[in-house]
Amino acid sequence: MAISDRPGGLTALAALNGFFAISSGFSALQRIITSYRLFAYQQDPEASQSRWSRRDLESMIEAKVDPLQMELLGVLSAVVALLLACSVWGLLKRNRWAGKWCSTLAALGMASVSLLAIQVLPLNQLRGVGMDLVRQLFYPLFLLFMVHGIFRKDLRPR
Amino acid sequence: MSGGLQILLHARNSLSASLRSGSGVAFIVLTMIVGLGLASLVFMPIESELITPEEFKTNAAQAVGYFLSMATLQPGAISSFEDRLGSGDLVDLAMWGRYLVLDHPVLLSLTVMLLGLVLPILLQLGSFASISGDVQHRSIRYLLPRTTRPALLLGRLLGALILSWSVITCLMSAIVLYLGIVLPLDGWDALIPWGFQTLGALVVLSVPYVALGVLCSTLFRVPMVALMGAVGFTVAVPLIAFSSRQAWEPLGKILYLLPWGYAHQLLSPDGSKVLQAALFCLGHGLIFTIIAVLRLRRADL
Repeated sequence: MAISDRPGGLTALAALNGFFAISSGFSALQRIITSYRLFAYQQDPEASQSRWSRRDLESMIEAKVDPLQMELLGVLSAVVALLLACSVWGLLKRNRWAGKWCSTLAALGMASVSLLAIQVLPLNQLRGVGMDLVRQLFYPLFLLFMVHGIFRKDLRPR
Repeated sequence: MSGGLQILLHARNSLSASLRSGSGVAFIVLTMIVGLGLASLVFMPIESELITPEEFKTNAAQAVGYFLSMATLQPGAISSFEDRLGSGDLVDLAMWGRYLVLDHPVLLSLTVMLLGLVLPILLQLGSFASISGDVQHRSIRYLLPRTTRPALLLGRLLGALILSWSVITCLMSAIVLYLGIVLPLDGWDALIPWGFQTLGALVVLSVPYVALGVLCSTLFRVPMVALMGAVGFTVAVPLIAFSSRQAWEPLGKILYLLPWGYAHQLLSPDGSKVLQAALFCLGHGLIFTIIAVLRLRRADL
């Protein structure tokens, strides 16, 4: 069996990126579905069947959530999920473009999504406010530090 | 090369290897995310405006009083604590609670108290592979002709300590900066000295637990077994002590196998008790290090 000389830290970063890719993917899906339901509710409030979902949608309308902005946030989350998924492959293969630059773009995207969510989503839908936002911003910053600092030489062209 | 230089060289190599290793990355990410999560949990009632700062301080004073009485006093029913608190028997504890909640930034005090409970477990992640990783892959055989076993172990321990201290410093800096900029309940003149004092407490507290991780790393050849051993011992000591002292009170002294029994004194208003607790922590670390050195010197590698 061949022994890989890939540093364990790159494998760990790839695993963490995979975890965050799945999390971003689900979040994107949820936001896109909610934005379509919000559009449908604005067109015809009676069409919404579930009492619970109707209450949820009404609270969003009251909070003046724009479905278009919600959809854009969902699309941005989906792009971040894709970039993170690419970076998993790139980090495992030690590919410069997929590993280094997809991770960089994904980190910037993760931070942007967290910050934009404050503008778009109502408080009861937000997962990241206050100190929780700092917690959400930690991983993108750490990813940038690792990819451009510690693993700089591992991800350069060979 | 002198012994001191060798130790520093091993520490530097260990530090850079830790940052590039899976366990190091997992340690940094988990410690920061869990630490910031705990801080978020403490700040949430005030940030979400569920409670006013005054109400929060009153509730926090009660919670800290119970925590300190549980940590300081010998076993007894909760009602007896309340009776003793009511009768004024526990004035020192009340003063201690006041010191943590009213005299200093309450949010920082509560966060540090929670970190003191969680860090002993997380710190093992940064030190469990110090020796066992090389023993498992047999790469330690290539190192030993050029150095001595104690120098290797002490260097690796120093590297693990520097990594832990750096992560704790980053975590505390983020929390203090956040409290100073976003939640200005207390001014910078209160936050900065208390921030340094609590940072010092956590730095001292980390010494015995990192040394325990390195000790388990010398006892077990497989890193995962070393991690399970270190975490298992850290968790089992208070659990066994609290459950067995119900049966026979002297068994409660098992708690002092690790700093669980006196670590809370690091936040005491009495400077002499803080110094005593710090010396106990360093002593604990020294004992674990001596056992690890003796074990590594005799190990068949």
